[in-house]
Amino acid sequence: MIKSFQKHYHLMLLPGIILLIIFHIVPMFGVIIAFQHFNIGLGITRSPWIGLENFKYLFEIRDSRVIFYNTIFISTGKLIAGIVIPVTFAVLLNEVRQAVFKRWVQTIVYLPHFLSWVILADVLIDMLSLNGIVNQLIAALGGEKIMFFASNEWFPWIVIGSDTWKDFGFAAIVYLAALAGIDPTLYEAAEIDGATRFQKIRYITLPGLVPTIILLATLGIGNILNAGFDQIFNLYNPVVYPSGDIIDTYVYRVGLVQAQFGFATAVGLLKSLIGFVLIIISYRLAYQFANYRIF
Amino acid sequence: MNGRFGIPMARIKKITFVSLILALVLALVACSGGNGGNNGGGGNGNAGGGTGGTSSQGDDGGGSGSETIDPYRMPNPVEFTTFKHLGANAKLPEGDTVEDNQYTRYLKEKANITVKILWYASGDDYEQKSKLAIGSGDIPDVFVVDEQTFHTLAKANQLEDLTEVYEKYAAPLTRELYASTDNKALESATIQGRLMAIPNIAVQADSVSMLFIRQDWLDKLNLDPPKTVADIERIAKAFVDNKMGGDNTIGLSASSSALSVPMKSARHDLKGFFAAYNAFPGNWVKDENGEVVYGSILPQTKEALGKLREMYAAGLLDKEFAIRKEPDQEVIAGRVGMFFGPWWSGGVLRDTYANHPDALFKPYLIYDDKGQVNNLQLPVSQRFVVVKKGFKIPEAAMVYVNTFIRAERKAEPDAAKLDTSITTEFWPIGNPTFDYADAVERKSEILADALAGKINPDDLIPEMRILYDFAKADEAAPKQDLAGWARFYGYTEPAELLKHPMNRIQNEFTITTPTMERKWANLKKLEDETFVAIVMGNKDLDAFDQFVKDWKAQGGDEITAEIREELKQR
Repeated sequence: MIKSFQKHYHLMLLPGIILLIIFHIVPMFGVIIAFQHFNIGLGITRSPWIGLENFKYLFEIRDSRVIFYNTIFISTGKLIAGIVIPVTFAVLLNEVRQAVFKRWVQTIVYLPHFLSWVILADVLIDMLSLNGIVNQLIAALGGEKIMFFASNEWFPWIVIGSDTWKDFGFAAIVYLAALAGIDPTLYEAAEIDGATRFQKIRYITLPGLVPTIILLATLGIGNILNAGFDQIFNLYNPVVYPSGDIIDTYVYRVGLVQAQFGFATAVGLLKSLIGFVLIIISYRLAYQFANYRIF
Repeated sequence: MNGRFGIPMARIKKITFVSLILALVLALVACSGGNGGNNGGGGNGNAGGGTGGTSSQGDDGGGSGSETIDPYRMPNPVEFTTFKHLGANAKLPEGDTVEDNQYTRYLKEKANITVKILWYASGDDYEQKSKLAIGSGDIPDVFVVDEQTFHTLAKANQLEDLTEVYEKYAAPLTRELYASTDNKALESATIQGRLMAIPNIAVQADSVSMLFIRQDWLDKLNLDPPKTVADIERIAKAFVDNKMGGDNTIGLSASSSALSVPMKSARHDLKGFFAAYNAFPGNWVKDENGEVVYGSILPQTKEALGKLREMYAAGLLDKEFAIRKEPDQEVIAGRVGMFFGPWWSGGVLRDTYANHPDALFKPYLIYDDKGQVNNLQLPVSQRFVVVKKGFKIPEAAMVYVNTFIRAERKAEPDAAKLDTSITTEFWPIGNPTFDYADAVERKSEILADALAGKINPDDLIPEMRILYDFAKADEAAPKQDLAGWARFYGYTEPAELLKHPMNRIQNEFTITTPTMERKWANLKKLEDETFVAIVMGNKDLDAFDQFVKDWKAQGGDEITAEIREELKQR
């Protein structure tokens, strides 16, 4: 009885598994070009084998350090801002008593999540250009105009900031759900004890959110080498290569624009390997601190 | 009946054994004539090699002389597959599709060829998709590739040898166009004596970068037109200081990729600026000793960058050039005083005039300190029609190209019915240009002669007749029909400048070497970063010297040696 019940579930998994095999497992075969001097005319089967040469070269060039540093800097920034802001927002919104206002705010802030970076990047570039609204404001206040997208000091922060702006509303949904799960009797008890609003947040709401925060943070570690290709690709230019070029944009330029498929694959493969290790670590951490288990 | 460079049509219809013999005889005459009017010693050697091929081919032709070869029509219906580039903005009339439009129908009717388009894409998407397709060995029967891909495919033995096909099936008009390049085009598609592709013919006019300047501002300020870079600086300063285009006046515009020089002039490049310093960053040019060197590391480039840096600091060069995505918009908004662009920049002028009826742009050439105009030429061929190895009917590609050329040159009555407002990219395999190398100059002369009454307008080929009609209408009512004006404008003032004597410089090496494949992305990044930082003042001008050192150490020297070696072997 129980056996056939399980079969049912396994059968329902099948479409997903098939997609996974076709689009994720089968293409894995292609990683061998990371070990080849890949020639597009010769193809995968006939290109000469060069072992680890592509990886060696990766560690020789000065760019590697920069792009790995940029990637980790930007995605760490995104990870931290991506927790602090939505949590703050969710807690604040949770305190709002007017249901209509609450729903309006929530809808408005998660709207940008559904816009693509191709569009948002143009809007952002326009807003932050020399004659854009931000610089007009700065000039009106007597400040000196700043060329945001040509400044290596500003660029990573714009990337982190705009990404957070785009997604914090959406991320807050998870925290709002967690907040809804906190036992209301705790608040009632606190009220009877005479706790202020702030104290209730400090001693009930935040501790109630901690497992969710830890869970999302540790799972985010596995993604730390993904700093957001489509965002940066649409925002950057050669001036900000030193601060904004990440692994994915580099792989794109080298691999697809310059057609060095072998080398680009090597970079990508290395990224995946590190990502794989990080996912294992983060899973362990999530298990330890948040009691999260998949298997 | 075809006017100055038209082709007698009767000849086209009867391509038989006789014409093959004729070609053979002509070739022999050219060969025995010592110098067939072409060029120096090297050229003759090549011409000799070429005729060797012809004569052996002539024998083949004799053997199969009984069958009639029509270079414009396949005897039986043929279908081949392809994929191609198609611009994102290309438009078709209602009801037509990429697979079924006036060009595909024309091709089917005239050449008996249908083309199955596997897919099409635009811009970067096309680049990526085609590279992936080629990489996975998934290539169509007939398609267009760039020089690099052509060499890669040929080396990998994936292409059909077209030597015989060309000899048998190339139409006289096709041959004439190739002859206008001194046969350099065919040479560029020849590998180890075999013709491995049908090369296109680049129109050299596209290489010239001219300075378009707001003549109305110039006149208002009573300034002399520019001749040198110093003039550009002076004029830009006057424009900006007098706020000719408002508070945000841009003296000289530039695009984000302007710090390396393209062979094909693009709007808002700085090709003409660099050329005035004899600098060609991003290209492999000959130094004074005749050795091939990389233009970006030469002192001239440093000098030009130094001047750009000064102009940037003084606010004369667009402050935001490095991040601007659409510099054209600034021109159209009436904020730009000067920009470099190709002869066909009329479209932007049209949009500017529509917004600012008082505006007037005039093109100028910029001279170097010796008083000459330097211009980096296009390679004779940049795009190659290739045929997949093993494709059974390779002559279909040649017949296709013959038909395409004849139709584009309007050397066939029905071709005149094709709507020229529909981009030629809708031809089934896309749009490799096949034209006389000096086609723009030729057309501009015809137009001028017709307007001066030296040629009867009724004798013009349809393509020129359209331009003539637009120009006539504009004479009667200047700039009333801006769309029509933009169509012929390029053949007037800008084309006149093309005839100016120029010091013609070649990019000696346009493909990649093994080390380049490995290290170029890195070197290119180093260059882009350094140059833009120098111009924008984030780095000292002397950072250039460090760049040269780094560039050489990080593989530049190695690549230079490889290129010199490969050029010696050619």
